Amino acid sequence: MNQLRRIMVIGNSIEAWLSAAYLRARLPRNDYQIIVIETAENSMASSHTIFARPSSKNLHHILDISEANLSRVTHAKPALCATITNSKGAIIELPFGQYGVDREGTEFQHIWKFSGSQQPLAEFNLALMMHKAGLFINNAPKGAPTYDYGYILDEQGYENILKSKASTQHIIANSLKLNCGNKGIEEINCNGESLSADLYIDVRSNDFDMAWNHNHLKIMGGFDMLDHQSGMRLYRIQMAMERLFKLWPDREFAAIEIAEYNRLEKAQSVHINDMNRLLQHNIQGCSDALKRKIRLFESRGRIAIEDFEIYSKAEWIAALKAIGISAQNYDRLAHRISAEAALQWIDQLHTAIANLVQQLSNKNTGKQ
Amino acid sequence: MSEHIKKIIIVGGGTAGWMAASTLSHMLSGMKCDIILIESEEIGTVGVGEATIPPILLFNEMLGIDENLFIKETQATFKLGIEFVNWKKIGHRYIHPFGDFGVNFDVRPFHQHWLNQRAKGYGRDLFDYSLMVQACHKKKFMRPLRDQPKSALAGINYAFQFDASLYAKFLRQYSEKRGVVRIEGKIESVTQHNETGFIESVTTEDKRIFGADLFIDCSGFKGLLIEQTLKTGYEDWSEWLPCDRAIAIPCEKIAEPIPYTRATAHEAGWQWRIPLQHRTGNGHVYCSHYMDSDRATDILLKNLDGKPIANPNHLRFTTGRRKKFWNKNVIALGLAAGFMEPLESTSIHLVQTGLARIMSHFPNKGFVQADIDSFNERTLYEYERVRDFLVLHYNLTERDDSEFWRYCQNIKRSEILDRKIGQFAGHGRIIENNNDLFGSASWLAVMYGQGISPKYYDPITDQADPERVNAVMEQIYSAISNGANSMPSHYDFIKENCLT
Repeated sequence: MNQLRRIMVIGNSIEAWLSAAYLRARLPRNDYQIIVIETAENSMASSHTIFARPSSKNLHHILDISEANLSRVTHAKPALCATITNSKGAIIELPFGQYGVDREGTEFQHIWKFSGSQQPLAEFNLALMMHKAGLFINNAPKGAPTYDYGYILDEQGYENILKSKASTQHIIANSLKLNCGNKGIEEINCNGESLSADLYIDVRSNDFDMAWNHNHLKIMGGFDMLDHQSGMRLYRIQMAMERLFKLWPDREFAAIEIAEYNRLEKAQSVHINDMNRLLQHNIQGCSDALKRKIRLFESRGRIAIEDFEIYSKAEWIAALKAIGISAQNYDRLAHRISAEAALQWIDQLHTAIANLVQQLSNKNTGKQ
Repeated sequence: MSEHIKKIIIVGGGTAGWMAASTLSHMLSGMKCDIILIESEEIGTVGVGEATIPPILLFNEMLGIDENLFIKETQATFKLGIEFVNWKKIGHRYIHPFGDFGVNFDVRPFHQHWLNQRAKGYGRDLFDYSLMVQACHKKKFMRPLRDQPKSALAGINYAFQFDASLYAKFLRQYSEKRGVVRIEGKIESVTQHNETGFIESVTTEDKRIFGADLFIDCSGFKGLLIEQTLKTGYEDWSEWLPCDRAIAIPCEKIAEPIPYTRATAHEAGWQWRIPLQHRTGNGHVYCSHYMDSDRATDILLKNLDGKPIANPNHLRFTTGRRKKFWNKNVIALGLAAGFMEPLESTSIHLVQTGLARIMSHFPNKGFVQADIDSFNERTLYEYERVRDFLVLHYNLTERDDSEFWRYCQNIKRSEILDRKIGQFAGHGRIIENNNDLFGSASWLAVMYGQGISPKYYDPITDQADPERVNAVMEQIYSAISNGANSMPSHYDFIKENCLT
């Protein structure tokens, strides 16, 4: 088999160093040469922090970055939700935890609606409530709504940690030209010198349609604040690397596998675009999947989970409610318990969550 | 909010009808909803769907059914997979097992290491690394050791083979205990709303009128409500799945039942063999364009391993699916929804998932179109994926000994199926979608079993030291082999655990 041996990552910042670190972690040092061609252009206006979704824990496990190390080098703060400020100035919080607790196979939001509870649905989301109170514990107590968490990281610290993990040769590109042909990149000219590799990973792309063409893999970096705030900037690179590793090519670059990569990339982009449209209050001309999601939610509060879904049901509910879409009805199965029993149970849960948040808050401030 | 559904009528009482009755009576308990099932003993049921796949365990669990009681009452046996005989070519056989091959390691699927080893001239046959295949060959069975997650025996995955008529009876008892009212009678006419076309009531031959808010059509191929009344339309899939006839006949059992179903390919179709405790279920699915019923019957009777205990039951069908599974206030289940032949035992499973989908889209009298559309889209997705998986068996044959098989070699694959085959044929890749019924292990078993030998393996597997990989694979083989040897015989397990 004609193995790839030399891989060039073209770009800068988190995008480039995360790609290089991922490859370094996955590929044996003796068999694969990884070179970062560090370009000068900025992929986005830096905000000095980077937001990592809960899935980044798996990434850090692969990269062998412990939570302690992450905390020390990047001043990592746990994040129980993604806080988005959209172009209209509205603040939307997408929680990494469920609303309430499902009961007898019925999702909580249906029982809540059926019960006629006056308490806002958000108050049953422990992740949101703790976020609002500035609290954090690693795991929800037994019986409470579950959640996961991501991180807010110092961008420079994170880049440093990725650089140390990538631990690879890098060239500062003062001038760079990619000579592309029908079969991807023929060679690159960097600082007047001709360089070549078996695979080029270009992390500066915004090309949705042809992410991978022969030996040229283009990965979309986070190009706007929305991607940055929602954690998509990091997530896109993580997923691209996982897909690439799953479909790792040899020098023949099988067309069917490249097509599969591009198909999966496109499916991911559709989900991200759909969510971004909701967050921007702009659903004109949205995908069929989003239209379906909206219609289904409006009718009875149900969330359709599509293939290669990225966001949790709770995140979709939060985004839909944020733009004023609410469920007109609820799942009939909520009626498996009586309205009185449902309301009583909902009230108890509300009290339990409020008490828990209060206890944690007291603990934080030293009160008993 | 519009009014709740207060009355449901299920038309037809075969496997699908009683599965619907039991599920609805369980899920809607305490919700003041009357459930009526109308069936006629005169019509009888098709009831050939006697074999299942592992998700049936979830169905039983959801209903709170005692598994041992279920085994006893339905004369059931356990099932670890399906053996395909003569599908790739005459004389060839392989088992599609329930469950994984080997154990993934070094962040790569097991079969990729196996492909790598094979390319280097080492290794055993892929099927040697399946606990379920080894257990099938040794006619052994036990339930998984879930409390010992590191044991090979923790990974046992199983389903059941049972007598469909006894299963319907079992579920009838379950349903009637939970308030389902069974009406004996043949439906003579159906009344629809003048403007909406929604079904308002059905009238039996003895002039009793039964009205309801929601109707579940389990009336079989004819689709009494979904087709004969609502004219929903049927999409013919015989271009992909050309068989259109079946003959079913039970025979005496001649040996202890084995823990797998057998599907033996013949010159214009295939024969099923389903071993139960008290008898063996058999049938011949064939294509009438290439074979007449006398010849098909002859082949079936010659290939029974025991004396027939009933007359052959001849069935006609067109593979395909209803254009809408849910139309107005009628939801079709079972044969009324579509038919794709029982090659991978999906008939009962499709009823089960249809019911799960009804529950997750349960309507009120307002019948929101978004819910109906979502139900239909998701059901269609599932039907198409099952169809693709079935086509795989026919299309990948090397047989060219008859017109039928030559036709099958040239079946036009769907884009998704073509992609799956292409990906596997290259580097042995299998990409799963999260809503797929058949997982990677099933695709691997059938694609490899039918003769696709990937040209390459995953290049990443070259990273590992081949001697270490060889040692790991031998350890896996030993664990599986020892595990299978330590299991009791299938029939002993039934006798000792389920019949007391």
